Amino acid sequence: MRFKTLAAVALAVTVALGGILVAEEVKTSDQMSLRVWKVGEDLKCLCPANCAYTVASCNMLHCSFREEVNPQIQDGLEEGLAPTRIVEVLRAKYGAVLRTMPQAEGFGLVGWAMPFFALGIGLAIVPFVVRRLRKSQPDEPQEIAVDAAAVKRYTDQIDKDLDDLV
Amino acid sequence: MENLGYLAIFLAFLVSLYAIVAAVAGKLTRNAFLEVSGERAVLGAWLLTTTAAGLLLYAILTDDFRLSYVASYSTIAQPLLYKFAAWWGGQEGSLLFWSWILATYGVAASYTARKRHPEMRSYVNAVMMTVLAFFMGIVCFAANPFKVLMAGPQITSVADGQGLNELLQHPVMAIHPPMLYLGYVGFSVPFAFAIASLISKQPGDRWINTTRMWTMVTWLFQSCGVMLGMLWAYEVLGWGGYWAWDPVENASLLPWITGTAFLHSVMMQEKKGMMKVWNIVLISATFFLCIFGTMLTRSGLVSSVHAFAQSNIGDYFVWFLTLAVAGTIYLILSRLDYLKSESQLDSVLSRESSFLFNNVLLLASCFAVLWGTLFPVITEALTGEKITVGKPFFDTVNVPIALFLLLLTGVGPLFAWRKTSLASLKKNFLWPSVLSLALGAVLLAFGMRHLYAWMCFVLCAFVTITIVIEFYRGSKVIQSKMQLSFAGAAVELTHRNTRRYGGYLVHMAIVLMFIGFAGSAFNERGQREMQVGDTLQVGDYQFHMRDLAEDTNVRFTSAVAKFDVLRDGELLGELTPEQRLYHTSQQPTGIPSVRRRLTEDVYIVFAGYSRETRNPIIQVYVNPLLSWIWIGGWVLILGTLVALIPSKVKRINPRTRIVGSVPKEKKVAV
Repeated sequence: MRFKTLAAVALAVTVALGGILVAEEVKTSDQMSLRVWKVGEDLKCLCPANCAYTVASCNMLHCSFREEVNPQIQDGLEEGLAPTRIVEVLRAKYGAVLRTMPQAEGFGLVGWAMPFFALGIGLAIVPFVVRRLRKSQPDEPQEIAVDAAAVKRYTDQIDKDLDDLV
Repeated sequence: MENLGYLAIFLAFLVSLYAIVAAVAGKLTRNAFLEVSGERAVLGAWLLTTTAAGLLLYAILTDDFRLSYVASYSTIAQPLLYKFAAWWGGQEGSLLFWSWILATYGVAASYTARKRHPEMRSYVNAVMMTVLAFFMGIVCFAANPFKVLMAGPQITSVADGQGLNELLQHPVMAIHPPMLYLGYVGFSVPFAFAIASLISKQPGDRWINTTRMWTMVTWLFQSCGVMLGMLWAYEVLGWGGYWAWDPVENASLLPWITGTAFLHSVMMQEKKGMMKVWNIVLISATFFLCIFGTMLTRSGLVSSVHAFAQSNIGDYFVWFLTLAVAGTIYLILSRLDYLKSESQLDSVLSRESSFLFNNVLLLASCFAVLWGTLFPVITEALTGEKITVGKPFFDTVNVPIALFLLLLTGVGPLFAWRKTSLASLKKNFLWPSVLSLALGAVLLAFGMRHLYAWMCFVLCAFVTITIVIEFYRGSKVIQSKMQLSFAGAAVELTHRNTRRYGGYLVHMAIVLMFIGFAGSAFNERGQREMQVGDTLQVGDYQFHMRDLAEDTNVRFTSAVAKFDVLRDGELLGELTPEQRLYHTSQQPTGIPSVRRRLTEDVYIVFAGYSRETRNPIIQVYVNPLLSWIWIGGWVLILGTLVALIPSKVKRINPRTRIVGSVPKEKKVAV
């Protein structure tokens, strides 16, 4: 009973805390350079080094692409455009290769869905495997006669093993 | 010398082919002479590969710039450590390095098989030598490191080489590739044993113990390799992070994940004789992912900053992988009768079930990484559209799976083998759950508002408490029985079952790393053009630029900015980010300066000069809790080493089965 109550309280607390966290707005910085950097996080860098980074994280000094794109991001922000709009404009200009993740439409949906689909299939298979592994068990163990002396021998052995163990 | 080197490579290729033929023919015809001959050919292949490797190293160390490879990856002024690292700095040398490690492992595997599994030794040799023959074939016919520079019909030379990429000239980078290769190549040994057991229809699980030890050692190398790669990225690349989900980084992670799954599920086979097919599949998948990872770095299949020059050797890898996968599938399917489970699952609430879930989650994570890595290729092939899949995708997909795995890390060991009673669940889960949620409430009260980070900290607390309780309970019993100090009792407890408690230490390492990963949710960053005397504020810190000095030496010209780091006006220390311009490559490189603390790292990069004003551009990153990732790495090494020490108490895992039952009312008086 005590366990059930505590478990229910714990669950309620978890749900409540999670709700508060989800509802909380993300604080944004007013610094322009930080805002430019954050927009750059959503844009793949197309520098000549063929790097795997974003415009924000490309480590190439004087990265030609970053130096070309960052002023455009800054102009957009100064004009009052939303970061998502700036990203759209830049993607329209440079192509889909600027994306850092698949689109949530068309074939891109397959990209998003597949890992979760695989996880779902895997989790669905576990109960099936468990059932299959348990099915081969005999329905009911047969009742058997037990020799008291044998039980005592085994009990002594278990005690001895446990003593040796700890 | 180039002729001798090539001859050694060519002979190593031929000898490894001979080893395959001799081993298989000897086994099939029961000709002991051939079997032993095959075994000695394994040693011969190692000697020849070592000779080739030694000659290449000699050429690098003596600045023999007649060799194209030496001219491309070494210079006269290159420090000795990096001359040595030039061996694996380029495509041809790294493939020879791969082959040399494989040949060395081949000798060790052959010795182990002869001592412990004589019935499988020929097949183990044949598999190892097949892999070696493939790599030596590539080195021999497609990536010869002994090619000389030619001017018309004459061999020529250059006065000095181009040298190793400056970014690779870092002490960590001198260790990272060998560690990673020891991991990649090492997985071929358990694979060879698995295939040999299939071919020879091994009914027993004795070989599993050998395989598990090899896998643990290899897994340790792979872990070190991945961690060192992260450390190098953090210390050298200057973007304030350590993991960019680059395809080549992902390639090193994939076999690590499946190897981790194997290390868990193999326990089911050892203790219960279950999951035999699954374990063969897992270890085979791990090996294939190692080959796949090697292919990714060399074929130009995906774009990566880490990839070697594009070449056509990717085709050979595709063929090798296709044939190897097909052969393995055939072997598994034809041996299903020998791989039947020996016992049943007694309850869903059991350690066995938790291992099943653990495997599913690890494989889902592996699939997500593989899928994200290959999705641009698939998309381009199917739709013609070029897209990129980067950090946001991998983070979105993998973070929930990783948190679920973290939960299982705490929950799994609390389940008993066979069946866990409700009373045991209550006893084991109550306090960890209550205390970790209490911590969650405290974090929330202190203003933590990032959902995933909050969940991560709560789960880390949960897992830590479960591990501490496990050590505490066991140590207390031993303390009372043996009259030891608590620390002595904890050591004694660990020594009695090194595998179990070493495993707990590895779990603790994962917790520490997750604390470091969660810290990234609170990273702060600032950037501005600065002059001497300027101050930049990022978070609670002020960075005052005190000096800017320039210097030059034989290798590079450098500019070093000196910063006073202050918090609330209090001077904490000095940081000196640097920018170098190497004379050979004319490549500007930023060398970050880092102030490490357990609470947070402060990381400054001299990112370059403004084109308009010529003032230095300075980037500052404040990375909370990041040091815990490296601490976790050390604990992981410690835990794995502990798990590799033989236990004081020898355990056997007898297969138990229920043959009958005694009704409760017929209690036996003893």
